Amino acid sequence: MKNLGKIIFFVIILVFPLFIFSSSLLQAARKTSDSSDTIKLTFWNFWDPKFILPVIERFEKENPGVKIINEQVSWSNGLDKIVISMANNMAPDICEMGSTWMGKFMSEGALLDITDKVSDLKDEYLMWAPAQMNGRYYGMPWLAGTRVMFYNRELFAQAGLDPDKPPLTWKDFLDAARLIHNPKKGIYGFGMNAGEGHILYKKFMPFVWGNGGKILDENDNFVFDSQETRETLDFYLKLKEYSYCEKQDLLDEAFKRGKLGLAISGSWNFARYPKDAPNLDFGVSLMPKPAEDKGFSTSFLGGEILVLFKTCKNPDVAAKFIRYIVKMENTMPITKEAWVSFPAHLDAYKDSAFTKDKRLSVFTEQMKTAIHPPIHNLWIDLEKIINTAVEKAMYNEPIDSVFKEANEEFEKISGKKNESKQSSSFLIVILSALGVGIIINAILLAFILYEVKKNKSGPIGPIERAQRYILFLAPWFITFFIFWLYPLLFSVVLSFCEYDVFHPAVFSFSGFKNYMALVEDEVFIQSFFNTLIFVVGTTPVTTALGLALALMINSLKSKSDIFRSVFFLPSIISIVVTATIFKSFYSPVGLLNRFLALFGIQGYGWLVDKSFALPAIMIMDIWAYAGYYMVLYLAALTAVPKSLYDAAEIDGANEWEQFRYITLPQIKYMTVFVMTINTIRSWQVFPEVFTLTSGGPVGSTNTLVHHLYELAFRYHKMGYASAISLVLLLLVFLFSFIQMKILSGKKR
Amino acid sequence: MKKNNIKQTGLLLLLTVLSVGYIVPWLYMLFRSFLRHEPGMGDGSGLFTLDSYRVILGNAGFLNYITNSIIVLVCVVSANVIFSLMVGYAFARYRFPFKKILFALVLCTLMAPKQTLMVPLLDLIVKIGLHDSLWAIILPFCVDGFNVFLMKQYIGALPRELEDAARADGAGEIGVLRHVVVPLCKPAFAVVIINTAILNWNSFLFPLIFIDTSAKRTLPVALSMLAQGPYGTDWGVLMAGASVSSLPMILIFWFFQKEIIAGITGGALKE
Repeated sequence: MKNLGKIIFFVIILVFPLFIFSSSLLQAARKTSDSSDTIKLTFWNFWDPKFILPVIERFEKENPGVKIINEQVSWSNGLDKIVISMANNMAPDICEMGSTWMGKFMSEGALLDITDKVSDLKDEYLMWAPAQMNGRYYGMPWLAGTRVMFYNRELFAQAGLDPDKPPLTWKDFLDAARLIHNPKKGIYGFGMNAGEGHILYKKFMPFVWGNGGKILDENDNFVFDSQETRETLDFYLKLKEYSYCEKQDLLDEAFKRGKLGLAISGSWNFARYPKDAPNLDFGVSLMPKPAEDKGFSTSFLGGEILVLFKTCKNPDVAAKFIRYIVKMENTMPITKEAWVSFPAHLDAYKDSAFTKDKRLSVFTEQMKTAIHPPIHNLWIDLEKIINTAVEKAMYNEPIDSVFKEANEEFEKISGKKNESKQSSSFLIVILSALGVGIIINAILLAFILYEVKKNKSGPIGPIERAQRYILFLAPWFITFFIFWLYPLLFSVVLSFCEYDVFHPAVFSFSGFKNYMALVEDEVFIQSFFNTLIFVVGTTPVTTALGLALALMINSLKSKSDIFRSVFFLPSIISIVVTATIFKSFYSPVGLLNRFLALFGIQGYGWLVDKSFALPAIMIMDIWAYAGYYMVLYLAALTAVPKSLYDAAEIDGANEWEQFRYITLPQIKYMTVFVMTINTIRSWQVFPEVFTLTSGGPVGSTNTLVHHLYELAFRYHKMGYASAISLVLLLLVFLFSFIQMKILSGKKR
Repeated sequence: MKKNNIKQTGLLLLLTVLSVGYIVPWLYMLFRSFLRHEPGMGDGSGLFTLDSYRVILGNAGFLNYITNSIIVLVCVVSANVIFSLMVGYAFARYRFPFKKILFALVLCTLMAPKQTLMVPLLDLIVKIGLHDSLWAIILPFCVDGFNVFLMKQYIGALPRELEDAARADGAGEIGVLRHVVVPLCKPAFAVVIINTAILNWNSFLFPLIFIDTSAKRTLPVALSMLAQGPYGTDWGVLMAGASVSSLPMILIFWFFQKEIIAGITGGALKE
C-alpha cells in the first residue's frame, strides 16, 4: 500500500501538466497509423440512415478503396455539434448544411472551394445562390423546399367561401380568415407562428418580399425598415386578430384536426395528413400577393447544401461522392418518404410522384418565385433581429420603437469587426494547464509541510501520513482538476477574449469588454430577472409541496408505498421527456384546455402568452421535482423521535403546535439542504426552457443558462458566453451562501 | 378514534386526487405510445398499434445502444460508489490543510452550469484522445460532488470508536474502510446509486457532443434521433422510447425504496 500511495502521489505531481500535451502527440501518432490504403471519409447528415446507407453502399461498390462513414446528426442540435467539432478540428469531411448557415461558413473560410468540381452541373440543379460567394462555389445544392398556403376546404364551404377559389390577394386572405374565425367553436382563421424564435421570419418575409421590401439592399445596407415592410406588418397584425398563435408542429397538428382555415406550411404535411387524417379535405395554393395589381406571390426558399470542410482529407473523392448522392435517383427516396424537401435536381419535377398530385405541383410552381434569404456573414444575427422585431410587434409593442430597435441592433452587430491583438489559443491551454498544475503542486506541498510541522517524531513519517488521505482524495483530485477546474480556468481566460470558433487557433484579448457588455445587454438583464423570478417562485413552493406530501404520506396509517412511488415518478424520467409531455398538455388544443372547456372556460395558448409562459414552466417544474424532495423529507420525518410527540400530547399541544414546535425544528437540517440544492438547480434551469419555449415569446422565458447556450452555440460568442457563465456561477454561490446563512442561523 | 378515521379517509382522498394529477401524464405517455396517431383523427381503425415499439426495439442498433448505456451506467455508478466513499471518508475523518476550502470546492462543482464548461471540456476530451469513445462520458463523471457531500455527511455521523478499535487491532487504512465503514454505509450507497443512476441514465447533452459514431451512442441520444423528424416529432416513437427508457429506473427505485429512505434518514444529512 505504501508503494501504491507513493506512485499515485508522484503521478499526480508530475504528470498532469504534461498530460494534456503528451496526449496530443498520441493523437497525432494515431492519425498517421490510420493511413492505410483505403480512403476513409466521414459524412454527416440529418437523415435516417436507411436512406443514406444504400447510396453509400452503391458508391463504395463503384469506387473500390473508398469508405464513407455515415453519421446522422440531430436537427435540433446539428448546428451546435458542427460548430463545436469545427472548433476542435474534428469537422467531418463531407457535411450537409442548412442553406441559411452557408453565409457564415463561407465567409469565415471554413469550407473548401469546389468550383471546378461542380460548376459543370450548374444548369441541372436549382438553388445555387446559397452555395456561392464572390463567384465561387462552396457547396452543392442537394435538397430544396418552400412553403405554400394550405387551406381547409370544408371550413371554406362552411363559411360560405368557394373551396375552389383560394384567396389570391392579402385582402381576400384577410376576409377568408375573418369569415372562418370562430374561436368559441375552436375554429381559427389562420395559424400564425409564435413562440419559436427561428421560424417566424420564414413566414413573414415572403409577404414583405412580395410587397417589394427587402432586408439588405445591393450594398448590404439594412433596409428592413421601409414603407413596404410597414405595410406588411400592418397586414400581418390585422391577420393576427383572426389567428391561432402557436409553434410550427402545433400549427400543423391543429390544421390536421380541422381547426384552422388557413396556414402556411411545407410539403412535409403531404406525408402526414393523408395517413393521419384521411378525411381532411384540404387544398394548397400559391402565397397571396399584396393586391391584384401590386406585388407578386413569393415564398421562403431554403434547403440543404452539401459541403466539404477545409480539413477534408480527400477533396477529389469527396466531391465525387457528393456528385453521386445529389443524383435524382439517389435523392428521390428521401423525398418520397417524408416529403420534407425536394431534390435540387431539376429533372426530379418531371417524376410521376410530382405530376400525379396536383397539389404538389403548387410547390414546384411556388419554388420558381421563392426567395432565399440573403447570403450574409451575419445572417444568423440578422435573422434574430427580424424575428425579434416581428415578434415584438405581434406582442403589441409600438411599431416605431420596434423598427428603431431593429436598426440599432443592426448597427451594433455590423460595426463590431475589430482586429485587435491576436494570440494563439495554445496560450489559453498552456495558461490553464499551468494554473492547474501549480495549484495541485501547491496543495500537495502544503499537505506535506503541514504533516512535517505537526509532528516531527512518530511511528510513521510525515509523507506517509500525508499519503493516507492523498490516496483517498486522489480520485476526486484527478477528476476535479482535470475535468472541472481546467475547463473552468479555460472559461475564465475565454471570458476576457473574443474567441471565434471559426478560427479556434486564434483569439483576441479584449479585457473587460465582455463584462462591460453585460450591463448593456437587454436580453441578459431580462433573462436575469426571469431566472430570479423562477428561483424565487419555484424553490419555496417545491419545498413546501414536498414537505406537505411527505407529512401526508407519513401520517397515513395504511400502506403508502404506492403514493411514494407515484410522486417520485417524475424525478426518474428525463426532464426533456417531461417537458415534451407538457408541451402537448399546454397546447391550445391540449389536455389542459379540454379540461377547462368542461367548465366553460375558454382555452388559451399558454406557452405563447407573454405573461403565462414562464408561470407555465414554473408549474411544470414544481410538479416534476416536488416528489424528489418529498422522499428526502419522508426520510427526515421517520427520523424524528416518536417520544417527542408523546410528550407534546401530554402537554396538550394541538397538531399545529406539534408541527410548529417539534416537526419543523427537527427536520430543519433537511429544509436547509433541500432549499440549497433546489436553489442551485433552479438557477440552472435550461432543458425545460429549451424544450418548451426556446426562451420565447419575446424573451419572456429566456433564462441565464438558455441565453448563454444560445450565445455560445447559435451566435458563436464563446467569450461573452463564458463571461455570463462566470457571473452566473458567482450569483449562485452568493445566493446559496446567503440562503444557508439565513436558514441555518434563524433559530440558534 | 372516530375523528382519526375521518382524518385518515380525508388524507387518503386528498392523496388519491393528487396522485391522479401525477399519474395522468404518465398514463398519457404510455397510452400514446400504443397509438398510431392522435385519437379522434382518421377513421378509427388501426388506432392501436405496436409499431412504435417495433421501430425502437426493431432498430438494428437498439441492442448496441442499450449495451452502451448499461456499460456507462455501471461504470459511472460503481465509480461513484467507490470514490465518493473514499473522498467522503477523507473529508469526514482526516485533518489536513485547506480542508474547508477544498470541501467548498466540492460544493462549487454542484453550482456551475455544466453547459458552460462544454466547449473547454470537449477541447480537453479531444486533446487527451478520448473523443468518440465511451470513456469520454465515463471519466469526467466518476466523482460527483453531490455524492461526495452525501458520503461525508453520512460518515461524519457514524461513531468513530469502531474504526479506532479496528486500527488498534492492526488494520490498515484501507482495511478499516473496507471492513468497518463499508458495512455501515449501505443505506448511503443506495442514495448514491439512485441519484447517479437517474442522472446518468437520462444524460443527453454530453453523450451527444462527445460521441460521433452511431455505434457508440447511448439510449437517450439514439432515441431522440429515432423520434425526431426534421419538422416535428413522431410522438408515438418518442413516447414509446420514453417508456422503454424509464422502465429500468422505475425498477431500481421500486427495489431500493426502503434503502433510499433509510440512507437519507441514517443521519446522512444531519449536522
